[in-house]
Amino acid sequence: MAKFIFKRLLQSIIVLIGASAIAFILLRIIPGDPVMLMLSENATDEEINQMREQMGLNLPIWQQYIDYVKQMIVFDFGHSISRGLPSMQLILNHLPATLLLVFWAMVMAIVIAIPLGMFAAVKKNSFSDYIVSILALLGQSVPSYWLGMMLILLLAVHFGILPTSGYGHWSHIILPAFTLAIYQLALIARLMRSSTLDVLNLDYVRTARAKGLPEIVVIFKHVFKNALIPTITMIGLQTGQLLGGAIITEFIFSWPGLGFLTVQSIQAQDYPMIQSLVIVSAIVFIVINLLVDIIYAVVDRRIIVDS
Amino acid sequence: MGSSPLLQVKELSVHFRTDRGIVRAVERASFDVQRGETVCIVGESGSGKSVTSLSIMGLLPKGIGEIKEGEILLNGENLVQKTNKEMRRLRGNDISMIFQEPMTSLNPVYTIGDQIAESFRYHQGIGKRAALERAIESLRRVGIPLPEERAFQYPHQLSGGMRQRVMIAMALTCNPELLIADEPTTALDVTIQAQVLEMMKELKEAFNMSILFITHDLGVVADMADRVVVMYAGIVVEEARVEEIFQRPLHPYTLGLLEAMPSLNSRGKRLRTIQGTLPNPLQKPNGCRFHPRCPFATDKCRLEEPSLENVGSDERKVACWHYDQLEEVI
Repeated sequence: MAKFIFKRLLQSIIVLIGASAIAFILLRIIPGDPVMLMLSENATDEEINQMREQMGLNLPIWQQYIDYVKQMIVFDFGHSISRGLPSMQLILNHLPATLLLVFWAMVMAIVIAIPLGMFAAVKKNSFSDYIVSILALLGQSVPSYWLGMMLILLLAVHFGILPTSGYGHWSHIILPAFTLAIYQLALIARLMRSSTLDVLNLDYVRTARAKGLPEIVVIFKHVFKNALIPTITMIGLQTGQLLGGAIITEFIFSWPGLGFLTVQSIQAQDYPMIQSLVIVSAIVFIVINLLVDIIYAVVDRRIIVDS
Repeated sequence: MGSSPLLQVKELSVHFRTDRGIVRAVERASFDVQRGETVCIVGESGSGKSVTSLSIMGLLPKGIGEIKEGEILLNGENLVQKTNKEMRRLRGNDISMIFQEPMTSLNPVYTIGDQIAESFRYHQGIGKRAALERAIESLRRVGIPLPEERAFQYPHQLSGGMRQRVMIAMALTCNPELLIADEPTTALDVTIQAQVLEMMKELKEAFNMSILFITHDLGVVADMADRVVVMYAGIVVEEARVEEIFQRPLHPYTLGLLEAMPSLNSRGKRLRTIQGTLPNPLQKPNGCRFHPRCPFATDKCRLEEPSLENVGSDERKVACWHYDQLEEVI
């Protein structure tokens, strides 16, 4: 197991180097100039050049990258251009809000979706199966900006049960978490349904029935654990994606998380800030993938042997 | 015969609903299994032999396969009329089954000890630890070395032969009266096959059980069977004691199967095959099912379907209009 984790960590470093390089180069290729955004419109050429030199943007890209890597090695990720604070500090300030949001969204999605998907599979082709399938299709198709705004209109504006936006009280998290959860819920339920159906047809399920086990044991012991394996991967990947990309939902609900920070940083062409956000997203993604692999290996022992 | 048979299958018909229509997988099949006896059901793939065994187990795929007619009597009780719950109590307890694919018939995410212990726990209501000890005991009984260690291993850590032994150990947990073995050795290589068959014979004696053995391998039949039931396209075409099947087959299909088997005398010669293929299960031929492939077929065979009739003794049955001609040929 230790060897397995070590191997995965080594792979992660390569992913990190790749992600940082691509983000760095892309930012500098796309049109726009942070210096112009920072200075007032009537700044002189001299002032602009001075600013550029100060930020090191006058150097060739490869030299800028080497400087950037050198700084990263000593854990200096640069200061935000627009806010003046260290970028990592800003990220750490915004991270808890995103973690909280994603955590509750995934909890909502998983707790509802897994039993729902299994239920639909066991009742395949019944009325309830069709209902679940239609709801899942709807859930995956509804755009989150529309759903978010409709929820605000209905529950916050019309009925006044929940706040429209804000952060700090438990009631603030319900709407954004639900908005975020709907898509995940639909996705997980559909995957769970199809993987349960696959497993139900396998030989060892027939063996379990031939042993005379109660159907409940067959489903919840023999089918469940095997059907869960592809679903775990999906949940992991989706969680990673949400941590870096709950952007729209955070924006609609003014949720002070990383998504909100990302939108602001891109608007300000805040190079160091965006680079650090990419690195953090990559790290989050890598950690989640590693966790998924470990959970995988715990659920299914064949994986350690094979790798 | 004296005592009543352990298992009686009477006029069993099983239909499968498919996208292209109803498939009559088994039609009016009848046969008995006596106590302590091994009966082999022989036939090509698609002859209905596996469907018959799944019907006895009550494991036909739900909503697709259905017993249309007939009775399956175990100790005189009709299994067709039992509820799901009653069948569940019987499965793994009075009747057990082992399957063709030992590689995929065990759950990859649980240890083999756990999978065997399950039967003990649900049928005999004993605790987890005691069940595991019994599971280790049953692994020892099927000749698995170091059962205390093997019990904590996962199926992928065992060879095919070992896994089939595990399946057998699992099937025998509750001392069943009837063991249904659906091609249990087909997926194994020949030496392992011989070992597993030998072990099954020993266990059959030790447990005093009956075996319903499903196979298409006549070598296995010769080794295992007391009696043989030959099925073709969903119907029973011949039934006899094993010696008679090999010495004096009465149905042209049985003869064809025997001739298609390589022997020491046939070395260097081309093997005989049965002409043609199994009929389309959706449109079986009129008259005798076998007539399109039968060298002895006459107009009568094309129009009228022969029924399974006694020939001489109760133990000898054949469904053929011209079985007496066949006797002359041989």
